[in-house]
Amino acid sequence: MEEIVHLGIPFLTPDQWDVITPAYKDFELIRSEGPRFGDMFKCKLKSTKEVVAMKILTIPEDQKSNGIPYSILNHVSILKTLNHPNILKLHTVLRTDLDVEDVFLVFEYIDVSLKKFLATPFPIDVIKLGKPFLRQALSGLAYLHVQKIIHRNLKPNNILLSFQNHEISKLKLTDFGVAKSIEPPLSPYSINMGNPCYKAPELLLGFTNYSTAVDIWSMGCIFAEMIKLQPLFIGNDGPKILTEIFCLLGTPTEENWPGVASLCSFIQAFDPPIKPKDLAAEFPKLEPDGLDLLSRMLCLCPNSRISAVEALEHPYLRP
Amino acid sequence: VIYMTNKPKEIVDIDAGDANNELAAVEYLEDIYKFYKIVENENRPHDYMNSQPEINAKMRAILIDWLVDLHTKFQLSPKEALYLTINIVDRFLAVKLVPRRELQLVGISAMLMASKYEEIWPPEVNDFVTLSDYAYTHEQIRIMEKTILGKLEWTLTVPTPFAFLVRFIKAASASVSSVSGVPSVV
Repeated sequence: MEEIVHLGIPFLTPDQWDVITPAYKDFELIRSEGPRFGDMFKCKLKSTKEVVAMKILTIPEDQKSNGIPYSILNHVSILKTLNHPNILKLHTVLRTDLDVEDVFLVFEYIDVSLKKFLATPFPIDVIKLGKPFLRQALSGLAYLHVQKIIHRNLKPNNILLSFQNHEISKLKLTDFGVAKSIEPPLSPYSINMGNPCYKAPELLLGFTNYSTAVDIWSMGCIFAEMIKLQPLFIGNDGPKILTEIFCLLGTPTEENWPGVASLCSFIQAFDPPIKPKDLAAEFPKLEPDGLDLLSRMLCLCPNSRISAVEALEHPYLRP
Repeated sequence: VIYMTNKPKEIVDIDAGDANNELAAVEYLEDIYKFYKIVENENRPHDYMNSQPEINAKMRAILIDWLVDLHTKFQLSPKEALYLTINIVDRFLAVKLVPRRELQLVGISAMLMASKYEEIWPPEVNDFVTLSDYAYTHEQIRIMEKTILGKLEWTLTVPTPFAFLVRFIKAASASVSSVSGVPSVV
């Protein structure tokens, strides 16, 4: 079985084959995301030859007795409400009978993730692509945020791109596995999801009352990564990443983030406090307007961080 | 003759006090409710009683009373799960004919889903089996859950009256704690 996976064919149980093969054929593994959310693979609709991406959400053995788990209810319910050119479209949820507990999601198919794109030596000018990239990514984000949905797991793997004549023809945000719909009255949210490298400082500091600003931070990190061609902050755990953040942007103060120093002992450990670096020197290739927008997206205080709607109005992104 | 003053009453910004409280997500609250007003109309179930040969309004009322009891017994709090349960029941009954003997089953599976959706420690299928006095089996409840999800096309992210109630209570300058005292009027 192991060898089949290496050949690029998704690993499917006989039950899963039985559900999928009547309507689909020509399977190819696109990306593997570990045991929690299952693999994503490419397949062809038999009737129209249309290529689609399929994702199987498997229910863990120990949760099966309680029906469909919350994570899947939340995931699919959020996907169902989304319809925007910059968000990967969910075509259908395949219906299955009780023998097969898994949930099969059929999405539109897009060629390449930003992560793959950044990893290949591409002849495309990343600086030139920065504006159209950010414009599309932020319009997807603005759409989510107006609908009070926080993505919570933005990273280069979750941004899909397709190119035409060296321009981005499509950009789609994907993977809403840990997305959260903000519903009043608001309650504390979990802080234990997402890749630490793209996590906003309020999450890393343990604030449970965060909001849509966490996605803007992640997008700022991703934008910076496109320019630098390497992740902006690198590390395996929260404290390491926080230290990297403070080394670049300075330790937060009572002036730029009211209340933070008194709430977090972690910050008090930085004595004397670190001064912010000059972003222009860190990103010599980026024009002044771009630097200004980047600094507003990477604003330490979530309440002062630019929103997606405001960012779309920023001079850097005006056509 | 009723004299109306032309001078509009001053509209109090009920979110002003929360400007620095990130939890209140003030920046988006107005957008959230604008969005809710639109979506509320899209997802509102139509009056389905005439299309259900075996079910009438009285039976629905008995079912809802029982669900309120069940909600109290499970000590589910606050009330989101109850409002979402009833929303699911009504939207399902609006699109699917349900025999009388399965009406309670629809209620159980709806509450199973809603409590998983809203609660951190939701009750389990076995709790529902016991509290419904073994009227339905474990398997029946899970099959009905899947049937409902299929019919509702997995749409659970809907504004229930509860979301609006919270807002109106805030506008009425009542204390937040009074939200938990909201009577189960549905």
